[in-house]
Amino acid sequence: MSDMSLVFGVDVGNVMVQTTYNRGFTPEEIAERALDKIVHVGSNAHPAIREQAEAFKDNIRAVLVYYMNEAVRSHNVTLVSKFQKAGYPELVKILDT
Amino acid sequence: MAITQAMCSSFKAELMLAVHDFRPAGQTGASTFKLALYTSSAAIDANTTAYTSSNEVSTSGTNYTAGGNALTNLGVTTVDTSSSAGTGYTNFSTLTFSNASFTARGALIYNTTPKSNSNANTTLTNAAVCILDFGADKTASNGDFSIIFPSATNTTAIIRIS
Repeated sequence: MSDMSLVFGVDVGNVMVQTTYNRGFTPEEIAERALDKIVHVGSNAHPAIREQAEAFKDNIRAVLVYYMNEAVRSHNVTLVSKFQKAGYPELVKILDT
Repeated sequence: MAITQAMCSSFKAELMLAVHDFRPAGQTGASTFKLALYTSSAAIDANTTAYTSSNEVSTSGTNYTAGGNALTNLGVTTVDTSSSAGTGYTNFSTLTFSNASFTARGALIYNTTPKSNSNANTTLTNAAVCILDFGADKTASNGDFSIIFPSATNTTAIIRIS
């Protein structure tokens, strides 16, 4: 008599926790997270494939960091405008520190 | 007292009771999942069946809200690598607690909108999904506390059925 039952597994993955002290995350730190979502190299990948993927990651990293810095700079301009409109021009200096 | 990473046993049973809906966040019918943080004094493991406030991170001066924050579910993906080894999986977006000042050792993911009753037809509330062990105490001080979920693949995603 054969065993006709079906068994399946339910697995939980591993998270990573990142924290900061007296600041938020930098564009470099956030870019690294994005890279892991954009390019995932399997543990069994051929070394040549892995090398190509890592090179691609390096290129993408530079692009991400550049544009994230642009976004931060642009957002600061928006904040400067809001501070000045709200009558708190002295707060603009905080953004420069 | 310990936090032991595991898929909650009750969750495995509830999958067969249509309790949890992992369609992408915002889609009609999708369940709402939250992540609550706990100190190292918590005792949560595979036997945890629902959200508990016992040994949850304090809300006093920490900018942490009791019950934690809502997760953004990315929906379900199926990878049929072969007729016998196909995998279904789901994942969440990175969750960040901003302006945080607290220490946490682990987390509970739970469903605030269970879709049906238990096998005994009792109402389920804040049904547990899984326990996450951070491996060590993690601390943020006047900063960000981010939980970064693994890559959404059939071998790494946060919840996988194979």
